[in-house]
Amino acid sequence: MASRSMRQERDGHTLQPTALVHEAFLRLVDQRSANFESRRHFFAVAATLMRRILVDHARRSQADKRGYHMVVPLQNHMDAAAPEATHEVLEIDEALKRLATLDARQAQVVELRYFAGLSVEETAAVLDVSERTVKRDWAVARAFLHRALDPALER
Amino acid sequence: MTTSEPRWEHVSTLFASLIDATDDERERILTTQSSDEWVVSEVRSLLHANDAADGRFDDTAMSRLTPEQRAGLAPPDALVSRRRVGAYEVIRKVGEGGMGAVYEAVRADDAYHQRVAIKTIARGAESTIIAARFRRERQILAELQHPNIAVLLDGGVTDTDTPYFVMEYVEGAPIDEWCRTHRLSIAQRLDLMLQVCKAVQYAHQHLVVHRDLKPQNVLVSTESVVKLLDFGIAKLVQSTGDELQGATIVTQDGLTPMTAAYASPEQLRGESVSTSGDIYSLGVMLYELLAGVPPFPSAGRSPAQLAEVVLTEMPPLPSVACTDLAARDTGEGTRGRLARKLVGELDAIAMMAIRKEPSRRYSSVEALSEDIRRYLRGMPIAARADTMGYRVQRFITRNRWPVATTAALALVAVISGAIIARQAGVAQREAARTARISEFLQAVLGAADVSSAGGMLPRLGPRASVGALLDSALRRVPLEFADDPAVRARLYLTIGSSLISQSRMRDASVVLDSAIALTRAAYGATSDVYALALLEAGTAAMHRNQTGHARELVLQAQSALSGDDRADTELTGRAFRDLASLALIDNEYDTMVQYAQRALATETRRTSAATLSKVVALNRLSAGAMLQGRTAEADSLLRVAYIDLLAMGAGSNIEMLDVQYNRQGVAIERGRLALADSIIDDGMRLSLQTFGANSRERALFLSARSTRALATGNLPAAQSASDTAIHIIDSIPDVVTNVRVTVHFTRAAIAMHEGRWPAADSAMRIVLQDMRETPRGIQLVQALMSHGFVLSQLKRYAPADSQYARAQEVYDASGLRLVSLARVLHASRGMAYGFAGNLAAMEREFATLPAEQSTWYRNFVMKTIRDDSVTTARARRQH
Repeated sequence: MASRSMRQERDGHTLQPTALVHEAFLRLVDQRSANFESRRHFFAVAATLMRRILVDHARRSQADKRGYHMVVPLQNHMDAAAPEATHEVLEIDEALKRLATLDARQAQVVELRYFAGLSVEETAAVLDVSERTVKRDWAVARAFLHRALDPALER
Repeated sequence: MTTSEPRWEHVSTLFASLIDATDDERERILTTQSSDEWVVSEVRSLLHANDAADGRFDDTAMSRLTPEQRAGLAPPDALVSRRRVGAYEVIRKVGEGGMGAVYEAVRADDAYHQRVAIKTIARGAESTIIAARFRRERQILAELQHPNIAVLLDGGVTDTDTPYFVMEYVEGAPIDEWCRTHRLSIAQRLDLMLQVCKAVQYAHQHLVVHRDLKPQNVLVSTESVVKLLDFGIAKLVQSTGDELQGATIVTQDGLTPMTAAYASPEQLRGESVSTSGDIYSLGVMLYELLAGVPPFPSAGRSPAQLAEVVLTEMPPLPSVACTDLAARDTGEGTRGRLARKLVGELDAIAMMAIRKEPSRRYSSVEALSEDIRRYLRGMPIAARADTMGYRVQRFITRNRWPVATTAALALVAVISGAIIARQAGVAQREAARTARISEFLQAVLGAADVSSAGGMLPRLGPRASVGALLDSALRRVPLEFADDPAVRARLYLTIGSSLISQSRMRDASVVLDSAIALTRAAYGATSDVYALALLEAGTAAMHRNQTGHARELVLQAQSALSGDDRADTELTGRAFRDLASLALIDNEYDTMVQYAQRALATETRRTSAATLSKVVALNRLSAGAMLQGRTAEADSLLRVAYIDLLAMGAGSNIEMLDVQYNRQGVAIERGRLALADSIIDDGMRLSLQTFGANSRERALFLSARSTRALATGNLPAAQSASDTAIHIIDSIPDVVTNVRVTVHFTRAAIAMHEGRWPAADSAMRIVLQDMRETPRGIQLVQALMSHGFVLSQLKRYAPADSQYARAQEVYDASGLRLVSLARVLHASRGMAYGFAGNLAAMEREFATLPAEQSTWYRNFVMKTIRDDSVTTARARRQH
């Protein structure tokens, strides 16, 4: 019989996938001054916030690796597995910023789909465009990001 | 769009068009489409990147991280073994919470042995604020001494600025897991919930709100004792704008970790949380323990989606949502048995606790506990409307009298008694009369307990025996109460109402006519009883298709009820609702909506409880919404009506059948076929149970089944259901037009599906014949359109067009705004013109369609004509 006082959060019960996402979401609803005219605005802001959180944390964890004085098994583990994914987030963020200067909506599609996990249909609703437009934007943005992330492809 | 590179649009379009092209095509097009070198090379490199893509963007950013990374991303203030934290020494980490990590620890000095849990809050920037708050709140939290609350022993901030809390170490499992592993029955789960409620109630009395109640925070120890964790911590950790001013904020951390599945709507909206929020979370927990799933499962939903759903959608009832697994875990065996156990009271308790508006939930945790206790004792619960009717029914169930109809009888008598008692100056006399009536009814109904009495009446099914009772009562009334017209009046009223609920409308009309005359004479033309008699008579007339007469009666009732003091009474609400229903039958949609709104407004002012008039009003409003194409709104309105009916204990009321019938229609319209199936099954069962196999109600649901079968092309099923429905309709007198039309229309639809155009033609003629008294309405538009389509398939283009023309007229005059319907009308008409060779007219009809659609239809017409002529030519050549 399991006998521990606290247990691992199970996916089914938490906001997916982690406490991290709780934050994004909660930042949102706790912005009492924020005035969401509509759901669409809500989703768009949520997506941007999620991106910011991931980027913030990626930056911080990079900084942390440079000798935070707390030494813990978990930290080591994370060190071993980590650099790629967190580093990647930062690169994606940079690339997205560049994309946004070329086409703001395409960058937004990435935020909504990749960071907030919205479907094509939902994204179309948030941005008030057709699904075809979303698909097209996504195709372009994705290629752009792939190119930006792969040094071999970047010219 | 402002951009630093205006050529990007060109790049994007070109790229998108070349994604699926071959290399050769790409080259060819690239060189011809653009003279700009930069554009060409951009597109080329994007295509190259696209081809080499590795699918890393197929998931979300979050999913790219491993669980450790995700956990680790919430920053790293982890404690390590043997580390001293305050007076304690950390032993090991035992888990991850939403806020941070949890560790097992013991007292560092050897003063005494104490095992504790240390919970760290993984927040960097606000630790000082949290620590300050903790010092303030510590006193309050320390006061929470309750056997079911894990004691908060201490708290502070580590030398690395990590806030932590120390609490008693509890060995146990979260409540949902505990219930599952131990296969606790429903009653046992309820007992556990009572323990949980006691703890929360205690905390509330000490002005501490939990704010984060969920199964992970409710542990059950190995001795089966419930222990609630983290009381008040959520509050400490939550940030507020003002307090943050002094601190340096690196990132905006420090909000209450919340689990959307358990968070109340007001929490999700960022509003202040009160005890009511805890009640909501308890409700969700209760729901989950009963049904095996939470009301809003989070699987496959992003947090934003989940919150949206929690804020706007009505969850299914526990009895509807319960799973097979839950049935097994509660020892009920089958899902059906579990559902039956949950239906009614437990559904109502859970749903009341999770209402979206705090004011509509239980007012306190104690109230929730009380209802659970009452349920366990078999007493009436508060979650249902606090009406005499419900109490009567529950009372009857406990004493095992036969079924709902007897309760209905008693109910009407009691209501009319109550109405009368309200009128000033007649109290005493009426009290005596009411007593006489009750005695009489008791005597009559008492005979229904056939099993014990050995039977004055032969042993028949419940419905038959009540019918026989009514007849016998009817015979006795004029004899036994010859001396007292007032009593006779009320008894006729009671009996007439019962006959209505037995669907014996003709008999009801006769009896109620007497009731009208007698009540007017005995109580006066402005009395409530008189008004009630008129309303009941109106209902009977409505069911007999005599809408004009019905309307007169209701309007007379309204006159009887005039006066400001009557403005918000039950009968006034009912009059509006009846007028709304009549307007629907006459296809006067605007009027219907207006009356329905007034009915709802009147009722809502009168009481916050669920009432029949509210339900009917909601039903009518949903029809209004449907007619405006607002399907989702119609769905929600009907959902509320359905739940209110259940809350009223009116699960087998006529209105429930109506609501279910409409719900399944909306479900099919929204493509939710599985849901439609379950509602149709329920409606079918209810119809059979309440009105028997040969009833208009069953015919309606058979039609529904037929239509639903058509939705997936199951023609044999559609046909057989439709045939049975027709058979029933043909054998019942006085069926309301709407029902007849629905049934025949379904049959026509089947013929159309099978391409049996001559049969469809004759079926549609019957439908239109039935509808000839209805000069307007959506069904007429649909019927005319369908008939037009059938005729054009039979190549009878002129008659087809005249039907389309008429359909257009009726639609235009109706004030309906159903874009898709209008489009289909234009499209069908256009096609008919096309097939007849009148291309100019075809284009005229198609001009109103979106370009894509008109192109499609045009091509279809052309292709059909071509195919036809090829076939004809081929046939000719063969001869």
